[in-house]
Amino acid sequence: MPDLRFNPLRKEWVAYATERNDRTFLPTDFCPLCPSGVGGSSEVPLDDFEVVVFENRFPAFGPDRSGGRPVRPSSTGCEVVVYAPEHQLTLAELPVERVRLLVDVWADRYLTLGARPGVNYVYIFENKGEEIGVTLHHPHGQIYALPFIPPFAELELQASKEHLEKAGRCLHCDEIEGEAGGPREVAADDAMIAFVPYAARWPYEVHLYPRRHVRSIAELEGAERWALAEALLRLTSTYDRHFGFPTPYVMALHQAPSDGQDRPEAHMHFEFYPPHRRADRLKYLAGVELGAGTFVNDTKPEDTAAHLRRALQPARVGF
Amino acid sequence: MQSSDAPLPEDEAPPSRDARPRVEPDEPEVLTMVEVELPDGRYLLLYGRYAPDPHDA
Repeated sequence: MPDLRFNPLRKEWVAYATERNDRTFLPTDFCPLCPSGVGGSSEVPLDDFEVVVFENRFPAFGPDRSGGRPVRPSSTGCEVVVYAPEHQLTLAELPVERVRLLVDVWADRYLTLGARPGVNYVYIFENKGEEIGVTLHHPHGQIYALPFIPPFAELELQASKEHLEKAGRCLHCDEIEGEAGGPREVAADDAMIAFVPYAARWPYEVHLYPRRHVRSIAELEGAERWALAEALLRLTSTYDRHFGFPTPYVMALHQAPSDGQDRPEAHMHFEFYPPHRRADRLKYLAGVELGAGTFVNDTKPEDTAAHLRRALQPARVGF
Repeated sequence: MQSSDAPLPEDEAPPSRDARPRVEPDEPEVLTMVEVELPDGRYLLLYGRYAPDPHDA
């Protein structure tokens, strides 16, 4: 069963989920996420769907399932979000209407899972590409309803809280203001802005923000949700154009915890970490990154931002 | 090497922010979710959108 152990030396939780070691791995003749028709054997035994959400059969967190068939968790857990029935598509290739629906789904799951007892953080993310370690290629993302605030989110929240108390402003809002129109901006419109951060860990890391200070994706208004859908499409397709292939990445949504606190210091945003430093080279986490916790980046954020700007569709302005 | 404060070449300048999102339709559609329980006890949450009939308002 999934288990959590706390490491007091690093003050971090480590999840153990031994069942995941035997999960489906890059099947070639069958996709568990494709619609298999009524009575079919995939995870979605239906003829069709738009976006479907279900409990992960191999969760990293959540209730004990070793006693028999899966149960509906009442608290923490892991969900799979399948973006479309079409197996070959990627997020970058979806119609904007589908991505807009996806934004609504993420917002709904954030509120629903965050309201469960024991859930302190709803972490929405996507792993894309074998280089990242995906085991299924069908376009999908994941949601972890965590019993704790994960370390990166905790660190960001603490830094932003200290800045808010000291300067009276959101640290993320100040970052946005500092990056707007600058050499690291990748694209922007009235509602959204994307940039390679000043101290990016990854060569082509991009942070995508709503300009308005909103704590979570659920607080985005209708026009902002459309703008976010557009921005997600633009950014992911820009990666593909720049590298010349469907680009692997980790997409992580950082937002306010679901711990019952007001959290004015939170400012929702997406972070993208593609592992490529050039089309034919990967950035690996090695001794300095894994052993010392310090990233070494072979590229300058100003340069990679310029590369991505050149790959933007020329006919479009902004997102 | 270009300093981060140096002016950008014309062809590398960030795009203007005058443009509005390409798609910004009205918001008559609402999110729908249908819960389907499978014979093995699993469940699926099927999300979609539909445009309500204005005559139903």
